[in-house]
Amino acid sequence: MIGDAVAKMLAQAEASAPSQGSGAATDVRRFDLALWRTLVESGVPRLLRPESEGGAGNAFRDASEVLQAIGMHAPAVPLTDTVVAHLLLSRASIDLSDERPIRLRVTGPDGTPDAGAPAAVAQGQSGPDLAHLLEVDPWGDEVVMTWYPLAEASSSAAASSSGRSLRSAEVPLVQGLLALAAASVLTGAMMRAMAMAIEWAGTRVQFGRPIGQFQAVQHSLALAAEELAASRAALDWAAQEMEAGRPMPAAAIAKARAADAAGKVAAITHQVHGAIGFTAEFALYRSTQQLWLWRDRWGDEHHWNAWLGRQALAVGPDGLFDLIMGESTLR
Amino acid sequence: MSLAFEAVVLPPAAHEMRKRVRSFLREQLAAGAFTPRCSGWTIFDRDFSRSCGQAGFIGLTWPREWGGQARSTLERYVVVEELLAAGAPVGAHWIADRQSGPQILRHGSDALKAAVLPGIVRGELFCAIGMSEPDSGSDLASVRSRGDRVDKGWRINGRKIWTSSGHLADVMIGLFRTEPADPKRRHAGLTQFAIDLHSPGITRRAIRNIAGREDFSEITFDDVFVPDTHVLGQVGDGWKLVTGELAYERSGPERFLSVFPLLVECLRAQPKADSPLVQAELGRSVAHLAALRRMAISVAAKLDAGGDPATEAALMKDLGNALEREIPERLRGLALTDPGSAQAAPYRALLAHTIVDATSYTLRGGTPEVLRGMIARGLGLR
Repeated sequence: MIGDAVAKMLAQAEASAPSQGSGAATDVRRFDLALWRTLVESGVPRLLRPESEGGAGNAFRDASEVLQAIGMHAPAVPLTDTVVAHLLLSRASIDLSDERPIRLRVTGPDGTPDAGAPAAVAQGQSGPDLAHLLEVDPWGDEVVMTWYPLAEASSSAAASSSGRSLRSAEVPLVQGLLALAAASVLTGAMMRAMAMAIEWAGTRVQFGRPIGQFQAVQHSLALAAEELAASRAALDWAAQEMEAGRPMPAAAIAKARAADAAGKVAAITHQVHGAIGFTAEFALYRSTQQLWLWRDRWGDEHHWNAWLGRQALAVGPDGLFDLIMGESTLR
Repeated sequence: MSLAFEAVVLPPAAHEMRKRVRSFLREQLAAGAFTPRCSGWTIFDRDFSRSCGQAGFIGLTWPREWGGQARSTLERYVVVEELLAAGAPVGAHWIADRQSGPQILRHGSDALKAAVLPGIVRGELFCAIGMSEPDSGSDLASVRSRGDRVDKGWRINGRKIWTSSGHLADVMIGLFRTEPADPKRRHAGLTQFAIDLHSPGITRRAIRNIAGREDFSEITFDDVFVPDTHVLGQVGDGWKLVTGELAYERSGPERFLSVFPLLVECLRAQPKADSPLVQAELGRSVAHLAALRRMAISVAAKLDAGGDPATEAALMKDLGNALEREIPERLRGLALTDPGSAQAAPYRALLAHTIVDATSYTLRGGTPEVLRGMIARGLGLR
């Protein structure tokens, strides 16, 4: 429900945004303050906080739908980071008196720095679009976080030099949340790239007919549709499992599956579009850039596959099917 | 996009059923009733199927009137996935339980139901699918075997081939031409019959495959009489019936769990647990299988609700078959802790067998070339 409402807001923002064909890596977009205010009014950034803190409580399915909408429309607001950060802060009993966005910087499982969402958004700017910062390392025996809130009054000061150190024992919850969020964005971006490729295949005429009538093109798109469908099925299940208090292994499976699909869907949708899809003035790159970013961000498929493989080795031959069912009680 | 795999939660009854199946399988294994194998759904074992019937694992969803238990499709789903995951030889009753029984329930006369269904439920009467012919493979509408009207029934002539268990089964649900072919209306004039394979005029020949097994066969019909009571649906509606049957044929867990016993055997053979490659390959299989499993549960629920998930089933089968082909190929590269160990030998033998067997997965029940066309139609491309 809230997913549909947010998708509508984002679609409107996307339609009214000035065309910014600056292209892939240089796609610096100014923070969309108007959109952020709309989202804040609807309580979207706080969605995962408990009701007493202005959220919807245990709303992982809603959150997943909202983040799919983010993947679909790629708005110039750091909503994914903020939604995730609010839950992490809430678990650490930290609330905010303002509704500024929160940047997340999650160290990679192998220590690589977080590539981040489009880095230019809100950086080095002043005013209400300046973001709080939460650094997270969830890969050890406990989750280690550093919280850099902006000073209430002086928004021009960058995050204070010494952050507040936080620790959490909720490793599966935090890892699961990160995996679920990334899988949601990926799935939304795949849905958009597919919709664009199907539309393009139906309108682009070569050899006297729409290219979508050629069997070779149909079969390529069928394969991409399979990847997307598998990713969605795993994601919907993972969101359900999160709500049932069982983040793992479902969330790991959802991220591993979607990240595996993302590269294939990006390749096929670009191939169907031909040269136009490789231009900065055509919006396909908005989706595919997200696919390439989010398949890596917060643990790529190699990380989660290896993690799942270690679970398989630990449960052994007699526990393997239970692991596939998500019944494993191991972390 | 019209393709939807709704998230479904298995009901508590399904968990109870899972416990029952696991306990049954433990007993059967302890009694030496079977050795776990890949593609258990293609392995014909009368004794094991009779045991399944006695334990109440066949015809679960059918009305009590015909020997069933009126349970949900999701309970049945749990039974079949547990049997497959255990590598049990369920091939004898598989087709009857999965699609022929349901087809008879929906479209058969009461006389036919009474003649066939209770035997299926007991695990004593087995079915075969009569679709392919020597000149009709993927192009099913081109079948030439025909039925001609006679007094109180039909006279069947022609030939069916690549029929799984055709030489061992008791009843075939087959697609036959009952009107001359009309190039303008290719799907018209076809009718489904349930044929007693022990009738006079039938010649059956098993065909040996490259895996060394006699799984499929050729069946010749020479003036075989089929009574009117054994016509399914209306005469001339065969195409509609056969395509409805395909959603059942394509959407089950046998389309991705065929090689699961190989993964189990791989773990038993002790792959190098500290190797990142070993970890990643095993984990990738887990992730892909888990996603497919959720899709299969979703399709089962859609069937339960009376929906028509033909395109979803096609998608799931294509994706599942591709994974089943991929898993043995990728496992080949994984190092074992002790390659000369006693556990390594059965794994290697199963791997070699599975690589050959997996070649057939994409040849039966609809090829990728056909399935991807269906998916493209679902995407609005044709």
